[in-house]
Amino acid sequence: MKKSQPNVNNDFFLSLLEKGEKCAFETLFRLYYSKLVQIAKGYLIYHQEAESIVQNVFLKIWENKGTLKEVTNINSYLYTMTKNSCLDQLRHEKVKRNFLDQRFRIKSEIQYQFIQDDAASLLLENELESKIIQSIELLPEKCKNIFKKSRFEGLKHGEIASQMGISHKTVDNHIANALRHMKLHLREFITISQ
Amino acid sequence: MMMDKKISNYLRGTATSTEVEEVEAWITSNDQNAKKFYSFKAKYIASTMDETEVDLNSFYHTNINSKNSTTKNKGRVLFTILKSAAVLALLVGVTYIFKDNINDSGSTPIISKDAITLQLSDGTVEIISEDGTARVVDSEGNVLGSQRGSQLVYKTNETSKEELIYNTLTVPYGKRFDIVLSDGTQVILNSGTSLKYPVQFLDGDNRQVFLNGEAFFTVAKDLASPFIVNTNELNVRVMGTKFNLSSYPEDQFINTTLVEGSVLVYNSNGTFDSSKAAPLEPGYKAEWNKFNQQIMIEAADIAMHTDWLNGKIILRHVPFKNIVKKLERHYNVEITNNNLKLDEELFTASFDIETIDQVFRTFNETYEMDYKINNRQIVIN
Repeated sequence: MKKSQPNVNNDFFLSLLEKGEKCAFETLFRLYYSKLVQIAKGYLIYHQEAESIVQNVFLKIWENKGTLKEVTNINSYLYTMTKNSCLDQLRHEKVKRNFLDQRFRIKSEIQYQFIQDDAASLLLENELESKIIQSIELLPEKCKNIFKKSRFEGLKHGEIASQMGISHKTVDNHIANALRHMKLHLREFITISQ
Repeated sequence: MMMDKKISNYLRGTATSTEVEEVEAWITSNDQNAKKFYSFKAKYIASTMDETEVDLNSFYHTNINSKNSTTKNKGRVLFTILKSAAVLALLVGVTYIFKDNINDSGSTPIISKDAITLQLSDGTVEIISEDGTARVVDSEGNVLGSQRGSQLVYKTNETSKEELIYNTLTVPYGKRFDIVLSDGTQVILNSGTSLKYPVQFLDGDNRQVFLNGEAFFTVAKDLASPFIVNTNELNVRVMGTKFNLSSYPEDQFINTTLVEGSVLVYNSNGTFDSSKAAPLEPGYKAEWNKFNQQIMIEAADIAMHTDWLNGKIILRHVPFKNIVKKLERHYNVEITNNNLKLDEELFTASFDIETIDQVFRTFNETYEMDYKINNRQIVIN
């Protein structure tokens, strides 16, 4: 692939999240939420819990944004958090449910094995990342370039500022604007129900 | 390969109950099949990632627009999301509370409406205490049945009777009771239900019982004598089978959900005609709509219809107005809802089961409602 292939793991993006940058959080949310919900549905026995599990994942990220600097791969981080929450939920249900319920026991066992299957997990994690990259690629050209440059090319704050010969503050503003812009365009490929 | 088709039905949730069992047996039969299934399933999930059926905005706005998402307003954040997604998962794990304070007021009426009662053929009414050892005796002093805890067991036909003698068992709100009829058929009665049945069935004749409310039947097989459950509008005719029948007079629908075997459902006005009766397959339910007098047969969520057997209430996309009735029966409370908007809200919830106070407290955390609990009266404004 070309060297400009985006990835969602750059330090700058994470540092924005860490600072509590709402736009960065929104971007992450819009990119990942529905995909993680689909994954959670696949892992759970009762689909209706999928959304609240993924919402809790995002709430946790937002609440613990100060610790994000230790994260090296946000795709993997989000996927693993979702998976672990689902595993907790399965365990919880296993304890809660009456074991005389044979049909439930079979379903629960299959889900349990599935969530712990390494090959399937790896496939899902990789698929998730490539779908996210596709989503970014689907953005309108201009928007995509801004997005890639500011978000995913790994350029740090200071680097952008010196490259473009502008102040730190201006970079901040540009990025905030770009993200605001993104927000609108992201809507084009994220179908919003209602 | 046939199995591939079935697996994809299974993953999409469109498999029939037989297919579900088949696929699950195939997966669990050996590791190789399991691995194959996991990889198939992972690919399937990946293919669903492009689908979006969630409301991203509500979560986003509540979250991002609130300056600090502290734990305190977490409930509110989730409240909005859940409400907009019409999803409310209430999961509280407390054991089912079966006992009820019958004598809490001190004054004991002759027959408390909170008691399980048995009406005999001569009209006398006896109270059945839940841990008692009552006996049912006929006019000649013969013992027809005896109680073991929360179960009343009738003896099998020893001497054949010439005429039917009926007993009626009535279970009030907040309670459940089991009965084993003289042919060995087991009936579990849900709250607010009464069942009229002959103490002994006549040999070679149809076995007929009359249900008002909800019960789960495990009918003893007797090919010569079909077992017929009569409700006000609908009759269910079976040979030997397991099914749930819900026919509360205040409900719009009469639901027959088949777990095992086969049943025929038909209108109770008029005589039985097998060509006009609707046959049901296991895993399906027949829903009789009292308003338009139509019957609809569709695949059923068995768990949702038989949840009460385990002391649970499982709701999937059920409007609040229908939840009210379930709560009233289960908890023996009276709920007055003046919030008409709330009536139409759809909820998905599972009670596992806690006290009514806890149920409402949980409701309130996620869907803000103005409610007051005063003993057994609950008012929502």
